[in-house]
Amino acid sequence: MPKDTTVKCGACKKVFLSDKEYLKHTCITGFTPTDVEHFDKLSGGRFSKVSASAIKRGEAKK
Amino acid sequence: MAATIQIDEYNSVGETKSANITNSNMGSTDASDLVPVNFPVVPGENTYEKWQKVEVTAMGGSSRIDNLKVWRTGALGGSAVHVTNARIADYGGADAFATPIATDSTVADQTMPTSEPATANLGIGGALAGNLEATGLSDYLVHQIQTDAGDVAGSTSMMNYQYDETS
Repeated sequence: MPKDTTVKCGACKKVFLSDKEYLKHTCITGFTPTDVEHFDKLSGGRFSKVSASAIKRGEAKK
Repeated sequence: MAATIQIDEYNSVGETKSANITNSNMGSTDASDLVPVNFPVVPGENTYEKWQKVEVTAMGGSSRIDNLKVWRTGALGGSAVHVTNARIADYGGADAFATPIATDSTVADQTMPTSEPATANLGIGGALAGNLEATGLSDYLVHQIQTDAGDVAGSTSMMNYQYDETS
């Protein structure tokens, strides 16, 4: 049996014909699956933006 | 910026992809996002295998993703065991997809760790030392819960998927 190329989004449950279409869709988060904001919202808002200069100063630690 | 990561699950003979799964519920059917109470496991039998991958959908300015680690936290019901193909040594390369089964998994022959492994236990490109420097996917993570005839209740636990990100 040929590989099924459809992709179901686990967040909004919509089905797309390809990965490319899936990656471009605007999900229930209001963002696409390639947006870090999408990742953040689905992860419960655990991330905060830190500037590159703050990272260099050591203000963003693991 | 940070990379954007999701967990995908693959089901059925067609290797149908469910992207960005929100749970890893396991039961007596081969499906993502299943409702366990609707698909209970007969004591002594197994759940269907889960075939999952870690996917990087955007690098977000990062240069590298590597050091993939997976483990479970929380106890299983009764004497059930959680098996996986994830391992920190003797990694046999990327497993090719096979339709998920509920008989004893031949791919998942290790015990799922219950704390963070010391080193990577899921490969990228067939090697534990592999990495992604652009969007892409990990090797398959395969896991299954095998129950004992005396087990009378299910359980809830958490799957952990961890990676290192280099900016």
